[in-house]
Amino acid sequence: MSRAFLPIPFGAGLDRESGVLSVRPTAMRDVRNSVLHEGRVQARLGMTAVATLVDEFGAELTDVCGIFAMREEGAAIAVGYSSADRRVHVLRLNGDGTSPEWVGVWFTQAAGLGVPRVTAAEVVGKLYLAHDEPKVTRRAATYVYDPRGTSYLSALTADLDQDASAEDLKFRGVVAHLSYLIGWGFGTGSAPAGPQVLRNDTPGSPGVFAPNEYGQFGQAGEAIVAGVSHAAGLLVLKEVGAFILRGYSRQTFTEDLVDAGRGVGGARLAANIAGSVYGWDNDGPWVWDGAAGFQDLSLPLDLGAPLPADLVAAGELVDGFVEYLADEMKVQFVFGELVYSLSIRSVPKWDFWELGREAFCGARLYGALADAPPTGHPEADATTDILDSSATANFTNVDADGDETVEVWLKRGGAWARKVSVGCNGLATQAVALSGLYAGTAYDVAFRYRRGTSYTAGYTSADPGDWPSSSRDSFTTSITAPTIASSLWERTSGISTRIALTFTLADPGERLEVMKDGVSAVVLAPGVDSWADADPVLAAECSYVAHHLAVDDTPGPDSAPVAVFAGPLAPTIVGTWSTSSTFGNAEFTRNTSDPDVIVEQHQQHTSGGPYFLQVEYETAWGNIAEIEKLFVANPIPFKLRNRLTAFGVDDYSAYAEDAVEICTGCPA
Amino acid sequence: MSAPALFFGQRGGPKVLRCNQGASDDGRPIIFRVQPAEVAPAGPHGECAFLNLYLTITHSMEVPVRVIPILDGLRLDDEITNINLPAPPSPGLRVTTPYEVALSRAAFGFDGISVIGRVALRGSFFSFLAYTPEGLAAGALIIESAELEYEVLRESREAV
Repeated sequence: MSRAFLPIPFGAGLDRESGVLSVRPTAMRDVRNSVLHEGRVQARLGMTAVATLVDEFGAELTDVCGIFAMREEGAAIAVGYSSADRRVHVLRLNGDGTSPEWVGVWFTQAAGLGVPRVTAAEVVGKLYLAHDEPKVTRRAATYVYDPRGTSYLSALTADLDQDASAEDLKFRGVVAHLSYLIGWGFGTGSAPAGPQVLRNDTPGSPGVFAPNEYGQFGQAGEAIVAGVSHAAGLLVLKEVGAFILRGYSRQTFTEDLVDAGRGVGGARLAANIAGSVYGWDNDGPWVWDGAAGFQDLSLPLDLGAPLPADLVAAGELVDGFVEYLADEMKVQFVFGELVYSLSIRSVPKWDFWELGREAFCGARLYGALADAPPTGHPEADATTDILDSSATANFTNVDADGDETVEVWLKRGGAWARKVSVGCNGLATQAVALSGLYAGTAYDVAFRYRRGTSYTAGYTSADPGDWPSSSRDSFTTSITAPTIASSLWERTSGISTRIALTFTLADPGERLEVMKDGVSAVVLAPGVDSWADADPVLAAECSYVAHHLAVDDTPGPDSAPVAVFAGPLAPTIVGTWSTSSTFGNAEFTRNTSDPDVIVEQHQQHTSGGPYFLQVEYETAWGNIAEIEKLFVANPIPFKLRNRLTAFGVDDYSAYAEDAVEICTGCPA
Repeated sequence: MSAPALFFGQRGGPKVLRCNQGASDDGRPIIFRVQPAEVAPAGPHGECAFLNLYLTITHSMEVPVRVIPILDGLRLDDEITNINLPAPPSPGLRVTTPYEVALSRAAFGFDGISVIGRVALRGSFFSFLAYTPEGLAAGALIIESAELEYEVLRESREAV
């Protein structure tokens, strides 16, 4: 036998489905982190962190839920989540994904739901944000980011149930189609469930929804999961079932079934890429070119077979998303760290990408606008509406064209930082709401115009202190006293007790200092609203006050003081009387329903003598004490106290004292 | 307005990540891996001695590439070949070089432990796994098509 040579050509991508005798010679059994060319395979490039999302206090968020291009502004909006307090934040990014600026809090995710999924649509310079939560009762209101508004983050409202009161709209998802904003999954304010309902806004009035502008798709109760705009119409996708909304107005809209057997596995798992819609449902990936049904793309992946043992695990289907890497012409179906990567350079070819960081969302961003520098400038006016953590910054637009972006910078202490950017409204004056400020803190605020990456001459420095002085103003935020909401002594073991305090915070972003008998007892971290004073001196009274601390440790005003007795609550004597010449009566309130609490009655044998325990009243004995006349003097003093036995230890309340006038003319 | 770039948002972290940039995933290595479909030069019932694998690699990065033969579906992890791709003569310059991977396996004595020599890989189906064990470095790495040198020991049964 002679030696021979066999070429092994590359480039056809994964084929896990074909048998060994039928597999194409160019196919790959396993190929990862590659770009597939004809006859060769190239290693992919990596990922570079360009921004870190933080909340208004500088704390890093735990997840990035969404990134969305704002093409009109040449910017982007990111939605981030903090698992610590479940707040969902909105941040603005430059068009290249850099320089995050905190905008505001959208909502607080309901407990137990995990990282929220969000979708968004840009319509006429505003970005509409929807919370992709199936249960409408747990879904947040759809919000509008308006870079030119005074309040640039607000709920989308309409009076859909025509009760003369506009309600928050809670769309499960939104998409821009033709000139419309489309939202789905919401009925009306009084009947919010509407999983099959799809609404379009009013023609000519972006973001304005009318009660009669809606359609229903497929079976009621089967939820619309996603909507994708396509040249053929709006593709409306359920978990199983796909419809198309053709037409351009209420009079011409028609609804057709496209595919009864395929759908989409998540709100972000379908997208229009290069003129075709790519999606992924329970059966795997598909593509739709606007003609008949969906074309299956899953065969080479053999999704029913086990994946390679050393391949990274895929995330949940519903958390997946599809994006397009235009540089390499790759459709990326991303499930956490695992990407099913489809090259559409020629014939579709698959490979796996294993990401070093788990991804939850994706977006194509278009970079910053590159235009001529602005010629106008903003002049600072007096800051108004100054509260503990918010204020309204005001400025006058001088020679503005109306297409500038206004950067608002803040300085607290030594360093300036860009707080927020908003679109210039083109009017004489403009106001910008500032939130997330530190209480009791002095701030400087400064303004400048930006167009693309260019600034007005004289405003190019990164230090606003170098800008003309007319661009700056100063203000100091207030600081408000907290409230001690509750206080309770309790025994926690045979050898320990505590006084538990809870607070109503006036400034959750600031620390709270608790003073006990005039001395600092503890400084609580921002947002912490409870504290326990361990092992106070028993049978003594402690006095507590609390106040917030400003960033520079300056204390704010004190709360109202609260005095707490280190022991059980004392009974209250509510009245005394006598109908006998030998004893009197007193009615008391125990102030506790604890059956382990016994009321002790103490009396004297002789006027002015020592008190002794006369009788004990268990709960079943009722709340009337009988005070025996043991000496001549009248009235007879007595006192009551509660005794609590817990962990084998007796604890005593303070005494409630009184005296009863014995009826001298009454029978014995 | 420039061409769109793809960005990912991190789960379990606060980062916005720009895709298709850099040689790692935010500092974590990228393991590039290629395993072509198996070939049977003598047919599915024939037998070959697989002698050499010729890999043509175009690269501008300095990185090790590991090659493991796969014979009749079994990965021969004891027969690893390391190809240390050198840095190009000047940064960014792509060079294309053929690399020969000699295919053989250890032959053991009667005790089943002592290696008494090396023998050719004999079997029906051949494939291989090529990967970068330490991740990628800055630059390009392209595995061009491969070529397998073999000798047919027994032809496949003829069709009846």
